[in-house]
Amino acid sequence: MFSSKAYFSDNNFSPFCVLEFNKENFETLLKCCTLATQERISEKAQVTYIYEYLKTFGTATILIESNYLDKAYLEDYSEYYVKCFKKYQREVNRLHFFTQKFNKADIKQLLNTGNIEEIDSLKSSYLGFTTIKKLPDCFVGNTCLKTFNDLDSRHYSTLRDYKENLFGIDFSVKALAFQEQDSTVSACATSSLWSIFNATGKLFQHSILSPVEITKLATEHASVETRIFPNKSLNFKMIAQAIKNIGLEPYKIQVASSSILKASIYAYLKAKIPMLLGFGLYSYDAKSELEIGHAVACIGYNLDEKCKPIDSGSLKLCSDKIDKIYVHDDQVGPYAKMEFIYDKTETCGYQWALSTSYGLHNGKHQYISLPWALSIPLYRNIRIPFENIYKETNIFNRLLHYFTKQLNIGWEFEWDIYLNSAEQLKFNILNKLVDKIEKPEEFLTNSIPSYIWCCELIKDKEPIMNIVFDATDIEHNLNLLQVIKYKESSAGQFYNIIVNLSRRMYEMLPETMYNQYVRWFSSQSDYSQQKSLITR
Amino acid sequence: MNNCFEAYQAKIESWSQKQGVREDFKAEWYKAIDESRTISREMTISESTLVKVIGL
Repeated sequence: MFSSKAYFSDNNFSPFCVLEFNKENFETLLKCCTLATQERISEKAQVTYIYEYLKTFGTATILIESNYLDKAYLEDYSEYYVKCFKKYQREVNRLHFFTQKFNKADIKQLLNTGNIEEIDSLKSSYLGFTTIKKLPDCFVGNTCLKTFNDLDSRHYSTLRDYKENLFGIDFSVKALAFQEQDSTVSACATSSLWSIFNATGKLFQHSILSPVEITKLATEHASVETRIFPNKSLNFKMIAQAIKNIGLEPYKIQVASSSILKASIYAYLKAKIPMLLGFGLYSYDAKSELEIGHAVACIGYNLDEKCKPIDSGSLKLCSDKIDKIYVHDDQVGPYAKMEFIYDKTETCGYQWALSTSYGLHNGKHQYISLPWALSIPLYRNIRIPFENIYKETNIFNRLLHYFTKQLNIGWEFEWDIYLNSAEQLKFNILNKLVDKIEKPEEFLTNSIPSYIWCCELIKDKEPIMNIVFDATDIEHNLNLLQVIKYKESSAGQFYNIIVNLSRRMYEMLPETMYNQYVRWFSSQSDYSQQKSLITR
Repeated sequence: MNNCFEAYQAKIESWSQKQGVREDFKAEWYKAIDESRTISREMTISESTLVKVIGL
């Protein structure tokens, strides 16, 4: 196994070289691949994070692919670095990580024999890659690393397959691309948008732009007094502008409570749509909020069954069980966790906050984050926002609670609200729910819009029905499309009770006040009977 | 469950015949509508948030 210092001395990794994975080798390698000092490399949070992250996976070997041309960096290079007096290298070194132990001779032999078993074994031990730019500071470029999959509670719905061909071998990693901000051409929000666009580009078929191109889109209407490059910061208006210019619709949500944040993140991540979270940072030392905020790309969440709803009111949601979110934080690293904190001694008196590893020093947190808003890039046909569905469900849920209280029935309701694609819903029905719901073939053969809102009603921990809304319709129409009834023993009877209750609500209220649920369920009862009740 | 269902239906029936039910229900409904308006207000991004500087 290679570890000789002599190998580093000439900085020649061409065409490739192989290293044992350990901290000394990793940091020395970065020193050779960048223009940064050893001290800067050792203190860099992203380097420590990526090293520790890879160590957790049992990484054994690094394969260095030299003289790699990275598309995202080439755009930045041609826009800025090529015009500098000092010469900067346009090629990057790409580090590939493996759990399998091997050396350079093993790879050479493999390439000379083409042994399929050995190739498959190498492919299965692949953990992903990171590109290292020959720059003095912000050198961590395009990074795609495998995620943890050991727990069912972790959900990373925004991942996609990255296929990389190295020496004729197709390697694949399920990831979402990360890179630290290159503060010359982008800000933290730009790096977050770049990661987000990596997911939405595949999902909604738009081009995936480089950080410099995103900065240009974001600053299209920037004030003339501001320099675009070097770029220091963006705001939510600029972020929205970049999303709009790429051909998507920016949906912005002010984060008023932790419940709203959890519900919004959950609702859109279930549809594989990542989002940008902007927040302020409160310093424990300075006992004040920093003047400048930070942005991260939200790409996953963790559900803890024991997590109790804190500020969700009467509407109990499955999303209340989120105890942490996973983000690409360009100041920390990929898949960094941010935990919800409610203990006021930790939140410095705030109702709640999110933990952040930004500024982490000797394992001690220096800041907490105070969320401001979410910016969600949506396909133009997703017109009905989460807010509408949340409000309608909240009204109906409140009325259901009112009735159960009036009638002295001890039912516990929980709602699972999320955006879904028609394709994914039908896939789930056919593959997971076909024997659990009534008349699956009816739903599978029905034509439904490309995007729908699913509101699953759960009574006493049993799913009763999935109420499906058209997410592409106009706001003032009746968007409730269909109800998928579960076969569970009490589900059918409960459905009839809901229909009966809705009919009662229908007769008690003027037409202008109807809620979507009430209108739809009351229309499921016998019309003539309903009419006689109304006119009674 | 059939028996339960009938019992619930009977409960709904007798409850709806009670005096003042319609008014009580309307009051509850208005509270729910108010709550929804608050949600809308809270979720709408403010002008001051839109221009907050993000650039750590």
